[in-house]
Amino acid sequence: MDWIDGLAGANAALYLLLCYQLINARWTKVTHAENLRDAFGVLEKEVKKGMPSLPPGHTWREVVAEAQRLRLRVDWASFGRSMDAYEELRYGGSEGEVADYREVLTLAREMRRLK
Amino acid sequence: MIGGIMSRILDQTRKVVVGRETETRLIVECFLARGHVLLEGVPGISKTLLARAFAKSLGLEFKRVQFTPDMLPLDIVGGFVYNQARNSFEFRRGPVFTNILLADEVNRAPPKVQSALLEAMQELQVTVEGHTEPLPTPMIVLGTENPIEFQGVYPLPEGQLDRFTMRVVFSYQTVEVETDVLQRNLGDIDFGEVEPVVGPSELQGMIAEVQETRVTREMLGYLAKLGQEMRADPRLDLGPSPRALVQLLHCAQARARLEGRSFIIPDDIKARSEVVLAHRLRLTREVSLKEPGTNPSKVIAQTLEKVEPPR
Repeated sequence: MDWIDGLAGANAALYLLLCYQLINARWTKVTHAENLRDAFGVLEKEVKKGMPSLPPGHTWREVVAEAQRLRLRVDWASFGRSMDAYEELRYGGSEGEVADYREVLTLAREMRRLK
Repeated sequence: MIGGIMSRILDQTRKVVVGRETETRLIVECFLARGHVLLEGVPGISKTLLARAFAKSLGLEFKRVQFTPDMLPLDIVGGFVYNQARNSFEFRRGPVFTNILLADEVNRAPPKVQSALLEAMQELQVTVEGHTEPLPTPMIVLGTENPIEFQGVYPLPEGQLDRFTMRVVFSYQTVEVETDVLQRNLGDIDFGEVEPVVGPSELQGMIAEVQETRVTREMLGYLAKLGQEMRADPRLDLGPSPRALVQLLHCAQARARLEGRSFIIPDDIKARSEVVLAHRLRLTREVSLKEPGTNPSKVIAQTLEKVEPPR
């Protein structure tokens, strides 16, 4: 019966690998962004799914206030710097996109957990 | 340049007025946005006190006029007076020739007087019998109105309310703050303690800086969409005028500068929509009678929730 145990083990390993790849694919899809603008685009999509009760007229600052209220695990100081840079870019006419946007993606991942 | 002005002004006004930080902030914003403010609240709620402290902290000329039903336009804008020595008529300036005019109980004056004042506010000049005289700049009118009086008042019509950039409502303070107010009034209030924190040229520079605050075309579109949406709201007889939207834009610019930004964001517009628009909107008669919970502020809040800002 050794061959049956071996087969069951291989089967379990195959399923685990499949699950890992599925989770990883979802994760990568959420966390991937080319630049700051992209990162906020990713976040926008996740906000719509994660906070469906948020009205269409919401602003980024309202999203942050709501996320802070929900105690999502984000480094808010770092996120604040990214948001300042994004606002400069989006509304202030700044052209540089050098800001760090890791925490924007962290928030997007946290939003995904809310669903 | 503008960044620290708010805290400097608040430091001064706090010497005589307890609380009212939000109201002070709104008045300063409106001043920088080249607008006029309607202060609404019951008597004795520190409207005049705050106006005086505000004027003193800016080091500007301040005049107060108590509006009464027997007033004439001449009492506000001035008029020609015969000078016997020179055997000629000379223009004598009325109290509107100042930097900060407190028009106390503006709704007590007859429509002719209200209209003379409001025209001066809009044009920033006075014309009497063909003689035109510019008002000093900067110039702001702080009009006060008591919301619960009906006897002997002439409510401001919509067209005139539209000239007030903001309506700032003074409500009663919390028990804690009111205790501090009582404590402060155990002795005399000394306006001598309030010092000017900014000079006239610096003020003009700040006003110019506000005007230069960047606004993207998308943001203008957002503002226009808000206006259209409110005008199309079946609960309203009268939506915001184009002038209202322009003034909202100016206030958003002032708010952005005071927050240290050189550009406006949607939050600036949302934050100032209620104080700038609510007093200009009029509900339909049917809604006023059948839906007591509906008011212009509610309509504004619901419109802001509905219209998507540029993100």
